[in-house]
Amino acid sequence: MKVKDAPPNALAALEAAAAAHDKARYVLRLYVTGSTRLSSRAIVNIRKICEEYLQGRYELEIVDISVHRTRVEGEQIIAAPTLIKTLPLPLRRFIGDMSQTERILLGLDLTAAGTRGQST
Amino acid sequence: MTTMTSNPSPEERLRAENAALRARLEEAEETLRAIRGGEVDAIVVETDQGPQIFSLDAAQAASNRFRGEILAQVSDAVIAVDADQRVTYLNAAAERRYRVSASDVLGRQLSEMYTRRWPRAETEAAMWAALREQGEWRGEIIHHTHDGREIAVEKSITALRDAFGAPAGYVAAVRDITERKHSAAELQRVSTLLDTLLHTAPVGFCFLDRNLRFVRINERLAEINGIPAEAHLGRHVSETLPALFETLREVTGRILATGQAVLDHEFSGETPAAPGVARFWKESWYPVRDGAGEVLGFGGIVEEITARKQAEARMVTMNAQLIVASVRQHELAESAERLSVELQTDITARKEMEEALRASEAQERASRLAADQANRAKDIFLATLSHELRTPLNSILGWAVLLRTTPPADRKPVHADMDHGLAVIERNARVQGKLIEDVLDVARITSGKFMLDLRPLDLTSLVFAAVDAVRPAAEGKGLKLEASAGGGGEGGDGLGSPWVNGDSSRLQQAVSNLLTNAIKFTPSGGRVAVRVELLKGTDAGTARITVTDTGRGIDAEFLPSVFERFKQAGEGTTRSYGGLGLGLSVVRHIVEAHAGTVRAMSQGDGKGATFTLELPATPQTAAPPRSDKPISTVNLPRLDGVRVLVVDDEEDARLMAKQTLEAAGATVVLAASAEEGYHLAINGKGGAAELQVVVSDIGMAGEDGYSMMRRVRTEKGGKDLPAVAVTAFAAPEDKRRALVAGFQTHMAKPIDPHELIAVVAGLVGGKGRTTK
Repeated sequence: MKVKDAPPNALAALEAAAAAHDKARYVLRLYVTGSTRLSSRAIVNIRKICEEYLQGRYELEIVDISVHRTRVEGEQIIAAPTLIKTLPLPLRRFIGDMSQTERILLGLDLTAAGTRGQST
Repeated sequence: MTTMTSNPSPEERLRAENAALRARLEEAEETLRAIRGGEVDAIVVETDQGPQIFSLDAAQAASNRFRGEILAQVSDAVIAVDADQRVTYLNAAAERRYRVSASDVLGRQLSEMYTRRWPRAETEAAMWAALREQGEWRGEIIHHTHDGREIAVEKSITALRDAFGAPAGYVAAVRDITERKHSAAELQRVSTLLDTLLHTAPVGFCFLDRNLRFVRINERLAEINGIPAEAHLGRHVSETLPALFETLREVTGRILATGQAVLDHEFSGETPAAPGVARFWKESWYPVRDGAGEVLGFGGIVEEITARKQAEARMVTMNAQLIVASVRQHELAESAERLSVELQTDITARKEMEEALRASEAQERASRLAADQANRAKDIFLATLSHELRTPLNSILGWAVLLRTTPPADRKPVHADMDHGLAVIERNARVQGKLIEDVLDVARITSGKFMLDLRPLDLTSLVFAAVDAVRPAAEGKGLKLEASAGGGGEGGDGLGSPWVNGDSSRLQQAVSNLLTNAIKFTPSGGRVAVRVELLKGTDAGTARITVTDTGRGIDAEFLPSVFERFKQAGEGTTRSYGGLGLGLSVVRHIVEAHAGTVRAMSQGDGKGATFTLELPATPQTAAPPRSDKPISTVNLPRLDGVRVLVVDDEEDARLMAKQTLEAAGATVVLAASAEEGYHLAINGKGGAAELQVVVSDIGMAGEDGYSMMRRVRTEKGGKDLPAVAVTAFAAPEDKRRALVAGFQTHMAKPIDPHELIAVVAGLVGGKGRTTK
């Protein structure tokens, strides 16, 4: 990570700050179909994960595709529930009821010990 | 993305592509795993018509969609939570109600949307118990929202269970009742305000239903009524305030009939607060209607004015007492009352007259002037009455006190003064008696009780008797008093002397008043002449009495009103002549009651006046002159040896009669009550046979004189005992009553001692001897 090599000029400093911010900040989108049992479970599970690991630095948008069908266009969604991590890059998708906490944490680059240790 | 800004080397690019591919692969594996694990409930397929969603459980999807559509429409907020109180669903109404978006709160603890505030602590426990046992709960609580608002809600919660029966959360429908609560609170506030207004008002207030039952009443009115406020409620007016029931029924009946309020109505009556005490209220009653205009009952506003009324009454009483104290109680109270009634009536009549004439512009000024003058005349009259009644009293009291306080030892030297004092007392007492007579006459005239005792009588004798009676006054003032009769000299020849059908005492009073009036207004050295004649020619059949004086005369302006009550020319000089101004009006009444006329003529100031009194004459009759013809003041009969019983409950009167009769030689037995008189009359000292005459008062405490005489008459010894009634009741009807009760004759108080002696002498016939 070049962030650690602090650039001497101001523009570089700004870019570094933005990068640090983006890294810290998670933008998530959960696609569900109404209030089905699995949808509810997925919502609650991902919310628990966010509250536990990303408190104060995440945005979670929940999209009901049974109502807002067009929201799936161009998102390469093939099943519901689906969670997309848009930030930080790279983009990642998780399918299911979000009960596989370990896998999700891994996918979000939030291994329990590491993330807590370096959280802003 | 600083890493992307520099140009990546081919090696780096390759590494990135490789990573992306690996990610895609992992995702594909992940998808398969999720589908296999039952973690996916829908598949999305991109088509030409856009993305299509295929549900893996068609039935659940259908009901889910249906439910979603309904819940999006309802106005109640619907929120579902899982067993950990995390929000799993909320509809559009809930988003609006709690000002949240679904994305922000889904999956979060419900407590982040709102916290609950319980009206009572036990309610929370009751809710959980109900959800556990019945699976549902309904109730009202307060939600304290995440953005700091309080919402009163009515909440209906159902417990959810999963396919295996394990608790899976709750779904709640929440209705906002803040508005309702607010309205109720506002209603409560307004109601409290109105109640406070009502209960603390310093005037009485109540509401009666149509059946006159108390619905509301405030403290003040309860206090006025003397019954606690609660004790009124639901009870009928006839139960709570029986004394006022009739009046209230009449007033409320009028309100129902007219639909109009009755304002400032003065009530009087008594309440349980002060039984037996007459109290006064000013009350306003008005109809109270519902929205449709139907009268629901009556509102009443009550103000106590008893104190004011009492103050008014006290003032009236004080005024009355001022007058009453100056005169003999009985007569004056009666006359003052009549006068005040009459004044009241006259004032009312004047007001009505003014009302009527107001329409006529032309007459307005004249009538108002006349009315004002009449009113002023009465005011002056009242002042005069008070003054006139006091004046003689001053002399009487002054001399009486002086004489009584002079030690006996000193009396001899002041003997002359004593005689003078007694003369003053006598004269003033007569003046006052005359005043009272006048007042009583006016009162009788006004109240229609002026009655005449008509008999044929010789007018000449009557006029001469009247002349005799006033002669001392005329001579005392240095006036020449002349009397003449038509057709002959003094006393007439009988042919020219007119006879009339009349009430001798009244006619004599009329003549006497004319003479007194002439004497009063004629200065010393003047002349007063009276002439009686029977007219001939065109006026044949008319008897005329003319009284001419050489006094100050009468202003032409005043001539028309000379016979009006309370009138005396030149009110400023009234005092210098004394009198009430009633004499001439009495004359006119007497004369008119005899179908006659009386006129006044004068050439003006200083030229004297002539009063002409005309009466219809009757053919001379052979009837003997009346026995009660005026008594000569010169020839007093003696009553030596005559035993007289005097009955009177008033000591002064009793002793006066005793003194008078004993002075004439009679022996007097006294009785202080009718009972005592009765016993003495029938078997008293010496027995009835010993008594020659009874002189009895009529109005006595206990049994009256009429009753006593009726009892005496039923006794053997009392059958023929001559009796005289002496009474302050001087009207002709009183006289008749006395005769009916068994008295031979009747005398009005105050008694002239000479007259009493003459009457008693007349009754004992030849038994008395006459001196001189």
